[in-house]
Formats: sequence, structure tokens, C-alpha cells
Amino acid sequence: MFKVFLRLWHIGHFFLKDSLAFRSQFFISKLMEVTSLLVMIIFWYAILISHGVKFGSYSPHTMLSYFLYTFITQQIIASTRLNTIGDSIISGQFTRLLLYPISPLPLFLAWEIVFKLFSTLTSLVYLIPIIFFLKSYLVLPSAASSWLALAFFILGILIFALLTLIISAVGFFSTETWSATFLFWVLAGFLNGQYFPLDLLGPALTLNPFAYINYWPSRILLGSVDFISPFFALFVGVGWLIIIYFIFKLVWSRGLKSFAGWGN
Amino acid sequence: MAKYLPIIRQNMLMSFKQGLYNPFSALIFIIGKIVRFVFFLLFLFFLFKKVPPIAGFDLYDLMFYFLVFNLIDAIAQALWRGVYHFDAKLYDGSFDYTSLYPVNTLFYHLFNYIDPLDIITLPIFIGYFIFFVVKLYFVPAPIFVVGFIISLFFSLLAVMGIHILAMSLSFKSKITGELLWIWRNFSQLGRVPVRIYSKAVYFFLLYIIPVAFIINLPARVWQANISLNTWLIGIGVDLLILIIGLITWRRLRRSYVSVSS
Repeated sequence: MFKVFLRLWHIGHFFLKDSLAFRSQFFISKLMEVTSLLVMIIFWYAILISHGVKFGSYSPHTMLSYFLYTFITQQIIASTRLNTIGDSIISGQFTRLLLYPISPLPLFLAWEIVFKLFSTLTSLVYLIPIIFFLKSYLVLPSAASSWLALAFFILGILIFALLTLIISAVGFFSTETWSATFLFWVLAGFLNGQYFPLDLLGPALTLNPFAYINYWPSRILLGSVDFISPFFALFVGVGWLIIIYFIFKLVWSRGLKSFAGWGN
Repeated sequence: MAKYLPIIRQNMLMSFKQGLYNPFSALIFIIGKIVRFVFFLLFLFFLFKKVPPIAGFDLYDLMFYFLVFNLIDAIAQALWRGVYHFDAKLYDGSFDYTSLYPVNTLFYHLFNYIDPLDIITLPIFIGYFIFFVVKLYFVPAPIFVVGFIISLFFSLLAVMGIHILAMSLSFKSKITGELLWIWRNFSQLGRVPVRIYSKAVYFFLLYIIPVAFIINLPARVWQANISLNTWLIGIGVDLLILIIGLITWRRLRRSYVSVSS
């Protein structure tokens, strides 16, 4: 157990060093995140608070909180380094990963954990002041909803990681992955609830697999859900996770068989 | 000008060959772009159809402003997609190589990759814009249509200035794509009329990052909702951004040190 932990620790350590090789890039990419959040808050603040616009059952304050929470969930769940795997398959660098004394899945998980921890901790630098500044406009989560949201967070992380790996596996069968990745993000962008609460267009939409990436963790943080039982949603989410896991296994086992590892 | 047109044509041909060498991927990308565009329109429609006008702007005004924003954004992406990868040329030394070409270096890097996939989707966006204004919105007097086209041209000059600024700053930061994304984040505030924002934000979008002049100006001309003086100031601001970009490029390029490739 200790050996495995030590191995994962080393993987994480090297991965972090690699990510921070260009400091100015890191700083500017964080600045990009801050501007993205500020723009979102400015836009929705103007619509919801300044002009008092109400959407469905959402009060302006609930809606503003929802968008802030979707941003946070996006940072935690959808910030990933797994999207680079597709390119490494095409370039042949993936061969190197196959020679490591650890199977790919635990390796990817170690990368994800380190990357998400690092990304979340660095995002807190700007998130805490913004939340503090907006405190009076926000619906803050209760202890009970926070625990339930944690379960949705873990589920969302697993679903998203597997979906990203499935998209990366396109690299086994094609000479490029960018178009599939783009289409995935377009679909995910609208079905995960980052642009609007999905229940505004009907409860059925909230049970799509992308909804677990953004919508459900954010919605649970807001408090009570009256149109569907959160536990039923959790149950459906676990069902999606199992289905997506089997698709991942199938696609990757076929992909690895067809992988020729050329050019490296 | 006669010297540069064949270069743009040649770059465009090469970009098309590069971008369309895998037709299936190209098709998926184009479908993705159209789906995103349709989703955004549906999102605006379903979300705002039941709400009262915001600061005097109704659903169709909001959709019109979004379409103008989309037009500027799509044309900019089509023409200057290569700028996003300018930093890579500083790393791998190809900037040294291209600096020796008998052509203006800035021009070469601005237009060295004209995105064929964006060029293909552009007629769809323009077509929908025309359909929208003719069938669902309104077409103003011809003078305002001409004013709209002129404003759009100057807005694109300003956006080009911002791309030049990002390339110039790359000499120091060694990063271009993310700098452009910071601009694109702010430009998204122009998807709606900037007048809906609070006074402080409006001031910011007027004088600090002039999204009001770059993104909103053509829409205001179409609506005949602008005085001649304000229009001239807007055109002046657009030109000023281009000039700032050019001056910055000239200054910061001097700080470039070859990677001895």
C-alpha cells in the first residue's frame, strides 16, 4: 500500500513540475479564469440584481448563486489534464506511458487528483475574495446540502474523467482528436447546465449524464430540490457511471489492441 | 497591396489543404460550430422570451446584439486563427526563419493561417443575420446599413489591433492564446447592449476595455440609435486601438532574442 502511495506521490510530483515549467503561462491562464468569472458575474448581476429579472422559480439571488456554483464546479470537476492523452496517442508518446510499471488507469487517476487539487487550491486565491464580496447576494449552502453535494462532486469527477478518456481514445482510430473534443465540449457546454439551470427546460433534461458535471453539484448546493428526489438523481448518476465505465473499457481495450505506437 | 494579396491567397490555399485534409474531422467541427450557434440562439430565446424588456431592450434587440457580436467574433477567428499559435513560433525558432522572408513579418504572422473551417461557417452566420433582420427584426434606411458596414469594418480593425497587441506581449510573456482569451472573455459582455450594465461597468466598457465601441457600435448604427459625434468618436477609438497595437509591436519586437534555431 505504502509503495503504491509513494509511486503515486512521485507521479504527482513530476506532473506538477511539468505543469509549472512555464510560470508566466500559468499566471496568465489563471488571469483568464478570473476574467471569465468576473464577466459571468457582471453579466448575471446586471440582468438579475440590477434589473430584477426572474427566471421560472429561481429568485435573482438563487440564480446568481447558481452561476457562481457552476463556475466552481467547472473548476473542480472539468479542469483536467486527461484531454492531452488523445494527442499523445497520435504522436506516439503514449508508448512511453505503456512502459511505466503502473497500469494506465491508476496513472491517469493520480494525474487527475494532483491536477484538480492544484487547480482548486490556486483558484481559491481569487474565489474567496469574490465570494466574500458577493456574500449578501448569495444563497450559501447548508451543512446537509454540502455533504450531499460532495457525493455529486465525486460522481461528477468520475463521469467527466471517463468521458474525457473515451473522447481521447478517438486517437487510437483517427489521426486527430480535436474535432471530436470540440463537439464533446459543445454538447457538454449546453447539457451540463453551465449556461442555465436545466430544470427550467423540464426535469427530464436534468438526468442526462453531462448534468452531473455541473448542474447537480451546483443545484444541490442551493438547497432543496422539489421537482425530483436528489437521491433518485444520485441513483441515476451511478447508473450512468457504470454504463460509461463499460463503454470506456470497451473502447480502450479495442484501442490498445489497434495501437501501433509508431513514430516514437 | 498588390504584393500582399497573392500571399493572402496562397496562405488561404495552404490553410484549406491543411484544414480539410481530414474531411470527417472538418465536418464534425463545422457541425459543432453550427450546433453551438443554434443552441445559443435557442438559449436566448427560451430564457428571455418571458421576461420584460431589460433597460428598454426586448428579446429581438438582445438577439440582434448577439448576432452582431457573433459576426465580429466569427470573422476575427477566421482571419486571425494563426495568431493563437504565435507563441509556439517563438519557442521553436520559426519566428527567426520567417523574419528573413521578403515580406512584412507582422503581416505574415497575422494572416498565415486563415481558418478554412471558420470561412466555411461564415456564410451560414451571415445568411442567418440577413434572414433575421429581414424577417424578424427590421432593415433601416440605406444610410444606416452603409454606416453599419463601415462600423463593422472599423470594429474588425480594432480587433486586429488587439490580436497585434497579444502577439507583441508574447515577446515578453511567451503566451498568446490565453491573452486573446482574456480579450474574448471581456468581449462577451458585448453580446448584449452594454447600457444594461451598472454605471461603473459601463464606464469600464467605454474607456478601459472599449467593448462598447468595438462590439456594440455597428449594432447601434443599425438601430439608428447613435449621434454622428459619438459614431466618429467610436471610429476614432477603433483606430486608436489598432495604432496602439502597431506601436507596441514595433517596441516589443526589439526585445525579442533569437533562440538560435
